[in-house]
Amino acid sequence: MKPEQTPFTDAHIDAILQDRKLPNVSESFSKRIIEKAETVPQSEPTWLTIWSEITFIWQSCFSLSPAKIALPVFVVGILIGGLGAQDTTPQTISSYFNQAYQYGYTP
Amino acid sequence: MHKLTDKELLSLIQQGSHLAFAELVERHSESYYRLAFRFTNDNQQAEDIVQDAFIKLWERPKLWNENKQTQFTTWFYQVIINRCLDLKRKKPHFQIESINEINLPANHSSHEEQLVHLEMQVQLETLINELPSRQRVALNLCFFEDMSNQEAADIMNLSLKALQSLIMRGKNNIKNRLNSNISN
Repeated sequence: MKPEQTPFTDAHIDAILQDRKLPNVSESFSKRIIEKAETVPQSEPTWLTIWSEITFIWQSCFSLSPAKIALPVFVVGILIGGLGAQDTTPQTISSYFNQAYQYGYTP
Repeated sequence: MHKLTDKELLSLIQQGSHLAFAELVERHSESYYRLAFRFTNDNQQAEDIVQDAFIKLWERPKLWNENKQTQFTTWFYQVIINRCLDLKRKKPHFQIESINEINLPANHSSHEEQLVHLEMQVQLETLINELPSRQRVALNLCFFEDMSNQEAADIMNLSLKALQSLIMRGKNNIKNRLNSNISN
């Protein structure tokens, strides 16, 4: 018996709706959209473009954004720099005095 | 590789990142295309709708406003559906053009079975297309891939109950039309 000869029930309708098929999208479809976008400028020109590309690549590799990493790196840099300065300053001053003593300086 | 969220990608797109845009398109274009095809039954129209929507997003990325607390995918489904409905308003005469391109399931082995299936599908698409637009949207969303009724309700800005009522009415309309075709 063909399906169209029997009255349709709710279950039939559900089955028919579930069975709706879709075509496969062509592989180049997304590529075409991306290429088209490359020829279209954004309405609000931005100077952040290069930074945004760097951020994208960075964030694709690491979970933290470069902006979030920049602050701790800056703080650590200051600390290391500070410690280094503490370490070298007395040596520099004493070397001046040593030189002065060599030339006959007496305080 | 760390996978960026849609929100992160959109924030980079708003700063002009082509790479982020490419990633977003690769991630979502296929499912939006399939949804557009549900409404248009036409390959070319479905592709045009999705392409135009993405290009519009690229041109004006601030159209998506994260402060409205809508997920990007939900918002973009709304964009695609609105474009499909606009097209239907502009071109009300519905013609199924690409349905032959749909791969029929392998279990419809004989030629006769395939023809019956194709005929049924054409009839169904025509009936769905003649439904009131809200019923059509509800049916297209609820029988679309793995979309839950709650997601469909969010996309349509409806309560779950209101969506279920639309689906029920849509299915009843289709059933009555099919049954009246039998009796005629």
